[in-house]
Amino acid sequence: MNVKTHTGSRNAGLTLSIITAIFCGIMLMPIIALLYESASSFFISDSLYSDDTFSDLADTVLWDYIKNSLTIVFGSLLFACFFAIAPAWWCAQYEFVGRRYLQWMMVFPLAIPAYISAYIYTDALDYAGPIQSSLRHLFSWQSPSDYWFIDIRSRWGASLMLGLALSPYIYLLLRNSFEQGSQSLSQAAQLMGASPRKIFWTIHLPLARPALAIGCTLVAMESLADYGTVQLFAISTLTTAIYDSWLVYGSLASAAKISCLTLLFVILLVAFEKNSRRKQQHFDSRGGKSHEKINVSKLKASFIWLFCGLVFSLGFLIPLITLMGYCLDYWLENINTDILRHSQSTFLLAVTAAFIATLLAVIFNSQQRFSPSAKNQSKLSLSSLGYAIPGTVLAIGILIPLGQLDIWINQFIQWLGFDKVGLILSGTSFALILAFVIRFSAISNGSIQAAYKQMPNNLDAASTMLKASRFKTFYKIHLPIMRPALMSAFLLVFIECVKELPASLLLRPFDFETLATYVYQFASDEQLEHAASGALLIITVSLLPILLLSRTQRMR
Amino acid sequence: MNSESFSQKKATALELLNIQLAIADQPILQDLTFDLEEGEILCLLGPSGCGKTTALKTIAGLATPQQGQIDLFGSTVFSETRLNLPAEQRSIGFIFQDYALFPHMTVGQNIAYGLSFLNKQDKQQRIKESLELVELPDIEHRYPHELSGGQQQRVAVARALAPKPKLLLMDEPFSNIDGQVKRRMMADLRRLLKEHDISCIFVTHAKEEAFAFADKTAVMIHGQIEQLDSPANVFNQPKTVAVAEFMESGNLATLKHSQQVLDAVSHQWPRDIDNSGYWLFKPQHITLRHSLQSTGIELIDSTYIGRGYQHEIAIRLNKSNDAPSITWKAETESPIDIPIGDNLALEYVSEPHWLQC
Repeated sequence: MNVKTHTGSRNAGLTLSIITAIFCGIMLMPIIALLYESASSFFISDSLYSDDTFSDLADTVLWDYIKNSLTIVFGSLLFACFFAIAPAWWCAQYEFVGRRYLQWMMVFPLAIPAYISAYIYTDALDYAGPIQSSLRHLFSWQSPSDYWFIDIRSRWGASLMLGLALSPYIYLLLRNSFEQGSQSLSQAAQLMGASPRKIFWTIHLPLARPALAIGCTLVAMESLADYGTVQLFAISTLTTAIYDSWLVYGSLASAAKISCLTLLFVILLVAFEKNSRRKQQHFDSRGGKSHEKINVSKLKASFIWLFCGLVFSLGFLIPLITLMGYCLDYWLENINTDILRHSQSTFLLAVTAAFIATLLAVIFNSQQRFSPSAKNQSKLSLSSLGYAIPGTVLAIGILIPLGQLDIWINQFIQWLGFDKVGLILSGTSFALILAFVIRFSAISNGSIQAAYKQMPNNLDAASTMLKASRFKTFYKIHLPIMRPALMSAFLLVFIECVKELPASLLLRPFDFETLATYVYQFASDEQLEHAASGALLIITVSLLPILLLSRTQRMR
Repeated sequence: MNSESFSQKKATALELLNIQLAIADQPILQDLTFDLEEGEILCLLGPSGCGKTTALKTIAGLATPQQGQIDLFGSTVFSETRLNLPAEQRSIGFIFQDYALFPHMTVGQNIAYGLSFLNKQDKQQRIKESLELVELPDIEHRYPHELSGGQQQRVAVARALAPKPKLLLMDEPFSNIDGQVKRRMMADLRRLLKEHDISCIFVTHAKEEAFAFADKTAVMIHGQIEQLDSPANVFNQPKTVAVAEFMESGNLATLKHSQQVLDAVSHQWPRDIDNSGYWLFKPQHITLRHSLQSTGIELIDSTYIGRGYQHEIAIRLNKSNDAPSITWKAETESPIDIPIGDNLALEYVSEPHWLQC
């Protein structure tokens, strides 16, 4: 009997091993497909590949696309740092009236997708928009030639929109880092005669540098991957080029090549990020008591509120109020069955993807927990790879193999003597769910991994010593303890799926919309007013994790 | 089958034979061999990193050695070639340093966790018994985080003993408890183990715990057992220098230095033992005399240590002024009237203990 139970658990282990190995293969598939697709057209001069879209692009506008992409990444970083660093320092270091509210208000811009702000500010700053109209009225200007006005539909405008929406990443990481800085360090510096200014530059900032670097990489990756904002502003970047190559020119090969080019930049960013994270771990072990916040004068507090209030208004309040205004003005268009239908299908899709991603995260992490090995660890890291891949790139990487599979399936079915079944993989929600799972598994993995890290290994050993099998340990000990982590993993992936735009645009089945693509279609048709309720729904859903985060942090 | 002829001697509970374990080519346990009689309490004592916790986990089945054999109550549970009985089938109780109580379960559920072989009624009965055993009858429905450290430790004991294991392993069970409480808890737990005839191995780095709790002490250094004996013998008659140094048994010196240092010893220095071994001198048996001549022995410091006074003595190893010196310690009940920095003459009023290198 003893032997039997032993082989039983070994069989289960083997099954899990195979499942995780297969999923790792699926994770890698898009990247391999992209490399294969771009390489094969280099080496095979088959008529099938006599597609010179890419070389045309390379000869003419590709360099401009790269330049635009990099300018926007750089610009977004500048704006995000400007909006985030000072508030992070103030909220971590000082005590003033309403700080508890302000420190969470600074995270709210994260809930507004950049393309929605972009639309709203374009509308407001337009020639016919309220600001220019009232200026003309005030100074009795007659035509555009009478005055200069900022053009929001530019690379810097796009950077501003992205910087506003992404600055909370830097803000959150930096504030955490500043708050963890142990008080004894700054007190030691103070006793050695350093001024507060010197302490900031020589102690706090250097210790927070890894956090700043990680925040910046996140912002850079997100702005590199952005599709909605730049497309709305008609700026050609690498992501729009991928999109157009496929949907306008119908060239999968050139889409694959531009994707590979984009991946190159991503790899550089990821390497930088990994390096910074290693340093952060080093700095994080400093321990010690955390800061007591310093009271500031009324004047300084007012200045802090002024600056942070401005960022909050620009990044959250103005877009939100405008959308509400749209909703009221066009309430008839905003309450229709379309929105209801699309919300339903989006939620169903997101629930499915979130469920699968959470389940996979549990499988991968529990496998590493029960039989820790380098192999299982690398599987785990591999399963988190997707987050770095921009949505457009991932979509192309999924279309290539699924399209080929569909061709084979149809040939096989015809060979069996049945009618063609059509694009059952690449033309259905399957592709979309696959993309979501690959892209957002990193989030669920992170959540479950953190839960396991906090769970002492001795609990497992204690369970074993009390004669529990692995399954019992997992079911009775692991699962109940990590229930909050399971919830947050599910919720976070769900929200990301609802918000996701570029991959959804490329992969959604014919005549199918997610909330994001629905709202975006209206925005790009200059009719966001008619889909404002959809946008508000996305924003509401996006606010959930922020509220959740603020609650758990307050409890701590 | 030999029980007739060995009726006086108790049966062997555990036997370890040549256990070898390395992690990433780093040897942790080297040739570990010892055995434990039924009902005996053994302490694995050693500095941190000596492999004592790994030894405990190896016995439990939580770590797998590369070589050797482990027998538990007469049947082999591990042998490098044939078998490795999984931890959950060895019927061993284990108490972890951090107690590892399941935080999401009540005390009752924690104890019931290892009792799935009982029906509901018996289970309830056993939970009650176990909690009475550790004198915490009314806390079945409380959660671990609602208990004090000492109570948590006792719940861990109750949980480990509830399935009635014949062998109990404990990893630094007293390290998170201090002072008075710790002493009482050790006495209580020892009585409990003895009453129920439970064999026990526990791991610690504090020799006081070994003195108070164990029948036998095994001093482990670098993954090997240097000496296994009663706590008093390990302390008073260490076999090796490493044991003497870890136990802080007393002052060590070679024969040559001993003769040079001590004016008088109530002992005949043996002629047949050449310079190979060391002699151990207990601090409390050294008498200090003020000397006005230069003896090369100097009083460095005197400290009050509660039960008396401890004196630090520097001994120059030859006559020249810059010669290297060793430090000895001597203890007296009352303060001595010798100024710091003055020369001393030493006498030893007991028989020194000889040990190998």
